[in-house]
Amino acid sequence: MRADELRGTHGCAVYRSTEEAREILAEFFGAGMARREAAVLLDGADDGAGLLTRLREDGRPAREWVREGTLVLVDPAATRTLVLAAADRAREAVTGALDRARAGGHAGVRIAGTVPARLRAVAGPRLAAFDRAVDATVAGEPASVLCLYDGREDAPSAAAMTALHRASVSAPAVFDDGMLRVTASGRDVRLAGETDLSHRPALRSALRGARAVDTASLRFLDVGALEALTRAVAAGAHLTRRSAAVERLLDACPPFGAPRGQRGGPG
Amino acid sequence: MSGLRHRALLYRTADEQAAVLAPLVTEALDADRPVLAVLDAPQLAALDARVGPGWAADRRVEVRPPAEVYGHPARTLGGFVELIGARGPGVTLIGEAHFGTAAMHPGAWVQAEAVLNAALAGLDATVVCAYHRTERPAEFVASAGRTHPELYVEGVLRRSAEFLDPARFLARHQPEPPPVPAHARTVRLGTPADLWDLRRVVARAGTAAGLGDDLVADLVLAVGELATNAVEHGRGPRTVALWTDETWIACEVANAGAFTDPLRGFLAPVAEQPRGRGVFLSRLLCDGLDVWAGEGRVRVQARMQRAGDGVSPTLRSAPTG
Repeated sequence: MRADELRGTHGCAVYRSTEEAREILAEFFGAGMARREAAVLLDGADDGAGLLTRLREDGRPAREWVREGTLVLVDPAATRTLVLAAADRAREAVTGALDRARAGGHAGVRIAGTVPARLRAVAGPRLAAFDRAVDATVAGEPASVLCLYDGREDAPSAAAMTALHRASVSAPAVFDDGMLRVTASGRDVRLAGETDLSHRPALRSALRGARAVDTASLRFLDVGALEALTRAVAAGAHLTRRSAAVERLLDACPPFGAPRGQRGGPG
Repeated sequence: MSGLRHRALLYRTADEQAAVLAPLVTEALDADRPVLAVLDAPQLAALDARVGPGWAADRRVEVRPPAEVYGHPARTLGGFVELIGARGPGVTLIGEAHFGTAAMHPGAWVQAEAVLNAALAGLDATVVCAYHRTERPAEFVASAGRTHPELYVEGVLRRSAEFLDPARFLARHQPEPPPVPAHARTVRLGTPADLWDLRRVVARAGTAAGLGDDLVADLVLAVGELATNAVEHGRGPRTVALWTDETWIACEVANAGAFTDPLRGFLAPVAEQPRGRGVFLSRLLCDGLDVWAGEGRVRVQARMQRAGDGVSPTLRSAPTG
């Protein structure tokens, strides 16, 4: 299932890129906010800032959520301590999050945790104990828990994952090499991450026949990639959202965009 | 008379300059043609005396201060092309070539003067670049005859016998950039995947050098384009050297091979041209950029000023004009 469909249960996802983890988390938390649930991220992968960026790119008021305490980010050190502690601590943490959510008038709570390969290796069997304790604590409660495992090194086995979690979440991509991530819904394409010389053929093929191209999460692109985008637009694609990087390059490249006016020179 | 007339005017006093410029201004206004005057107050006053007061307020006249216009060789060149294109045929542009930040662009201003001949080729325009004989660096005054097809000397217009077409001028006039210092950090470019790491190295160095986020992004983009060129078109070992001194953060991309654009990325490539945007863009983005090609090697050195706004603090307060 997709992350926004996970509700009232304990699921897992194995991610292979930072952008994929951000996408899954943003979907998971975005769905919860729509239902007035509180949210907690156990930020084991130290990418809380990346998640907030992605949420903003998805049109969510991430800063407000954090300011009003609807979304709580637990830093990497505290996350690590929690995962490595006895199972009682896991139960306490989940119960505490639920109590705070109820006290704050929320309909429930969503908890997600990112587990980088290094933490999985250090935790060993303690991670399974943590998962079991979490699972037992959320049963029957208005809580949804999503564990994200880094699958890039020494990927966790599918059997181990299904033994510990009740649902499996995924976010299919057309292309993802850890730098550039391309997702598609029909002929609507979304680009996330960074694209350079490494992606010329992949980018061209991803953009072929595209109807809409969303670049909100495209954080770096080079001139070659801008040319590919320009060709896609010439072939009929609509650029739905432009990231700051796209705006910057359009602004800097006179053949493509408006002349560079604010940089001095007599123009 | 149509076509481009690109002339240098070598002068010593504002009045000597005005004696040449006044008839050009009068003639243009009599023929109802636009005039762009990039001049400072003393030069404008000298023209007032000869053309008659009030000429600068004429609706066909646009006056700009040289310090504003001559900020950065590649941007100034692009701006001239834009301004002259926007003003339509028959425009007369008079520029006091004070090259205010010349110290930041060794060689690049005279290269830009040469490239102007190519950039405006075919346009109907008169461009007069006024060089003060003693206040401008001797190198600039000496090169005026090679970068301008026509010269006013002692008030008399004559063809320049030394004039070189832009490609030949740039092939001969490419000052070798300063050597890479021993303390530079060197990154080897093997595969396209190395560009990812390079962006992070450059971003960290830019931030450490005190550049703001926008300038860091500009530098990352510029160096990325130069490195992409090296990986895609260069041969042999491709290296990126990165260093910081008191004034600059600098980056040199080097590889074996030849540099194919004779105008060294000063001009925007035409739409159908698949290559050449990278150096053009980097030149616009960076405070300084030098291309040196020879003996089977290419070195492209890009610099960003640590003060951040592309104008050195000493030159900012210096008297102009």
